[in-house]
Order: sequence, then structure tokens, then C-alpha cells
Amino acid sequence: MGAWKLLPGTRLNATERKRAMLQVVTGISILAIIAAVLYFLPPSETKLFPGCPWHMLTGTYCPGCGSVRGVTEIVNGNLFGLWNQNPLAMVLAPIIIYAAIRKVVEAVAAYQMPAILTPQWVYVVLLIMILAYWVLRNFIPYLAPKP
Amino acid sequence: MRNIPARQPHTNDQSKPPYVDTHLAKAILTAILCCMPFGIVAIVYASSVNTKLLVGDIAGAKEASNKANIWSNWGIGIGAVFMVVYFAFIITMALMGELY
Repeated sequence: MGAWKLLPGTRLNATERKRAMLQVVTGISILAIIAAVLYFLPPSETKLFPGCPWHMLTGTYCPGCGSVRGVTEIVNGNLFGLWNQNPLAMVLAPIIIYAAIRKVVEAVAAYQMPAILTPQWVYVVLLIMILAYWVLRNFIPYLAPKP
Repeated sequence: MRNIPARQPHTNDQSKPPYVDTHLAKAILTAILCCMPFGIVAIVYASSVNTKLLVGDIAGAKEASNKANIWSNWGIGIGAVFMVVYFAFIITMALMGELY
């Protein structure tokens, strides 16, 4: 079991900052497009979205099933919609939000926040969580996506 | 002129390894929103980045970081292509009046 370590924050040079800015602008554009599509063309009404290939082939739920329905509910103002459809996605969302915040700080302040060096067991726990969730959500209706 | 000793480069300082991104957020996005297997491989590679970094294997850490990134990108790329092909299919069907 390794320990958590912290790397000190650093200032970014102009090139690195520009790169971060580009990533932030790209990310916000993609988010805006996804939000607009999900808001104006909700998957429950348009048949526009393919649905999960895994679910189509096997009839069982994968760890990602329900994510799009959940995000659609968020776009429509129901912040806990993602929890209803895919609890694991909601649990893991802070990791993604944290990464996004780091990028925004890099772009805006040209500063790379101190990096948390996560020990390897965290990743092992993460993998076990995802695999266990894959099995469990087919047996526990609370974890399964709602139609 | 006096002999000036060469300054020690600070870049190889073992106590302060450089920042190497694990691309974990991307790997999770790939696993949850798109393509399970690719995301899982990416998380496996991401898991070895910090371990390697802390024993001073910076080249190894960068390689693992790259591989995690590439696997996520492949996952997202294949997912995106799948979506585009599906959209094209649906739109064609709709235009032909089969769907609605």
C-alpha cells in the first residue's frame, strides 16, 4: 500500500497555458453541444440515440447504462437524475469535475495546482468497484437504470 | 579567471519528480459513457503512472501516461464513429420514411 503524496504546484509557461486554454474551450464547446442536443432532442422521445450496444446484445446492463438518461435529467434541471439512472457515474463525477477545475485554473491563472499522487490501490479499488457494479446492477433494481 | 564548478542541474532531482498526468478522468469518462473495455485498460495503465513516478522511473511513468491517454482516445474515437454512423443511419431511415 503506497501513501498519498503531493507534488507542489508549478507556474505554466505561455505554450502550456495556451494548450490548457484550447482544451478548456474545446471542452466547454463539446459540453454545450451535448447539453443542447439532450435538451432539445431528448433520447426518450426522438430515437436519435443508439442506446447501449452491450444491452442490445446481451440484455444486461453495463456500468455505463443510464448515463445519457441521467445527463438528460441533469440538463432538464433534475440534479439527482444521474443518481437515479446511474449511481456509479454520480459517485465518480467528482474525479472528472476535479480534473476539469485543474484545467480551468491552468488556463485562467497559468498555474498547475499541486498534484495528488494517488497510490495504486486506489485504482485497484476503482476497477473492482466498476466490475462489481457491472454484476450487481443486474440484480439490484436500485442500481439499474430506469426506463 | 577562477574555475567555476559546473552547477548541478535541478531537473534530475529525485525528490521532486515532474508532473505526469494519469488521464484518470478521461479513462473514467471512457468507461462510464462509452466503451467499457477501453476505459478499463486505460485505468490499468493510469494506475501504474504514479507508482513508477515515485520510484524515479520517469520514462516509464510517461509511457504509461501516454498509453492510458491513447486507450481512452481510441475508446472515445470508436464511440464517436459509432454515434456518427448511427446518426447517418437514423437520418437516412427518417428521410426514407421508415422510422416515423
